[in-house]
Amino acid sequence: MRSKAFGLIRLDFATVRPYLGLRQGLLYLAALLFVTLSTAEVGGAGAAGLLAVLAAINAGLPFSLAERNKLDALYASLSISRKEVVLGRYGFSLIALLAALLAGAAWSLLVWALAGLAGPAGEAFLPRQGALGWAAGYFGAALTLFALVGLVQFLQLPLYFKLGYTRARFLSYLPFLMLGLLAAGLGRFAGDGAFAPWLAGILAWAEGSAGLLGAALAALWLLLGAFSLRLSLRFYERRDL
Amino acid sequence: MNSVELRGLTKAQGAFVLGEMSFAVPEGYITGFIGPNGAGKTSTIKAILGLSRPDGGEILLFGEPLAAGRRNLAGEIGVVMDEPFFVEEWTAAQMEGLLAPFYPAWDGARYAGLLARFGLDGRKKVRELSRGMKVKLMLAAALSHGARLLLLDEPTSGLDPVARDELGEILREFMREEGRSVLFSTHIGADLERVADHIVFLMEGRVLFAGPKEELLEGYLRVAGGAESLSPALRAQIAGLREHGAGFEGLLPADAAQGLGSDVLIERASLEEIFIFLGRGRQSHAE
Repeated sequence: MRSKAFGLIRLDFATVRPYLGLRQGLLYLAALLFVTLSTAEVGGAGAAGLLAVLAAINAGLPFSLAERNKLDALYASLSISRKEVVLGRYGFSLIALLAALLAGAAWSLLVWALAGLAGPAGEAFLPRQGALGWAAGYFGAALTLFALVGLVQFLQLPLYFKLGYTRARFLSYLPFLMLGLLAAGLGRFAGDGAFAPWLAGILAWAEGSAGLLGAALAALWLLLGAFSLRLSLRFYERRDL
Repeated sequence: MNSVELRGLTKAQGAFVLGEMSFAVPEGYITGFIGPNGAGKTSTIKAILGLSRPDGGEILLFGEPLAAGRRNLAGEIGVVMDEPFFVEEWTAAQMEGLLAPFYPAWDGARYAGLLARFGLDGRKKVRELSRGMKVKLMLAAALSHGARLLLLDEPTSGLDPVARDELGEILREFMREEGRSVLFSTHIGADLERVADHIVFLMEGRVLFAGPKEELLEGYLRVAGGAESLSPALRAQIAGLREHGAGFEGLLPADAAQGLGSDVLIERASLEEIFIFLGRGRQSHAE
């Protein structure tokens, strides 16, 4: 079971690789440069955020290409069960997201190195708290991005398995919209004078119980992930391909 | 022993219904699965492959129920569909590295040999191949892992006669080893005339005939004659009756042919003719 799911991950990477060529790479590079130069941020979180969102968008690519190339018949002929397809696809999304965050770290280090060579002009891009400070900051940002983009994928993947890529394509952008609306709502809420003391209280409590809160959020995240996986398994098991 | 056995399979897909379908693909034989477009051939093959979920009935693969069968069938079944199921950007050479790990008995030398025999350039991408070459690529993959059963879904549609003949030759070669079988779906009777041992004749989601090809060929005769020879009794027995200026033609059950006058031409019907006349007869009944 496990080896076939791993085999599916390998097939997924072989499926998407020809479609992520030089043109796509240059486009992503231009977007990274834009984000880095426009924010002049030193932690690399902006670049990581961009790459994580791109990973989430590209999580639909194996579904799209499998549909276009009728790969369900290939999976059947290779005796890859539906359960293994679902497990493999979740694995692919997870690995793609981790790879994006690692690429974000590499990009950040590259910007740092280039900024050091550029002399005073590059000072804005140098981390002010040294290597350890940068690493801690990037790890925090990456962890948050992993959790948030992971949540988006927990919503997206069951949609793809239930409806197929073509029918789920537009619905799959909804989680991004929901996340955006949530962020905007929280921003507005935080800026509201009436609620600011209340929010400050929550933040103070969170700071004091960071460990407990972190564990609770991690448990909730895992629970949502398990629920998403279960939904996907049920949807895909029942679907006519 | 049957490689595939369907027992009362039913499946509704919108207005189309596969109704109580039962037939077997016996080991050691090529079974032709014939019927017009939309008769339910692809739906049946998809059900056998587990790509669609039947509403009722049972499918047995090598004697074991498909629903319960969690064993690895990858090595035992070779599949060729009407359209390729490979990524358009893959090359034939690249595919070997991707497919081989899934097949316990993958034979790289055989795959290379088949690519060479079919004139397939391993460096070419799937999208660069002609339809015939795509079918050959699927065949090369299906024949390179020691499959005991080949499931072919309309592999000949759109192929020229030479390529169709070549496919027949390949199937005959495949059948030389013991314990092998083929389910060959097509709407072209001539393809099965040459290679099939058994026939499953499907029409509007129902099996009209399932059995040895000779039994079907011996069961019907093609009759033709002048308009004056077409008595009301004869008219009632002819399937797919076609009347034209010079007279009539149609298909008659062999046991009804005795006693016909010498003014009626009686001859052996080809599979293609049986398929056409029975199909038309069915349609005219429906009308």
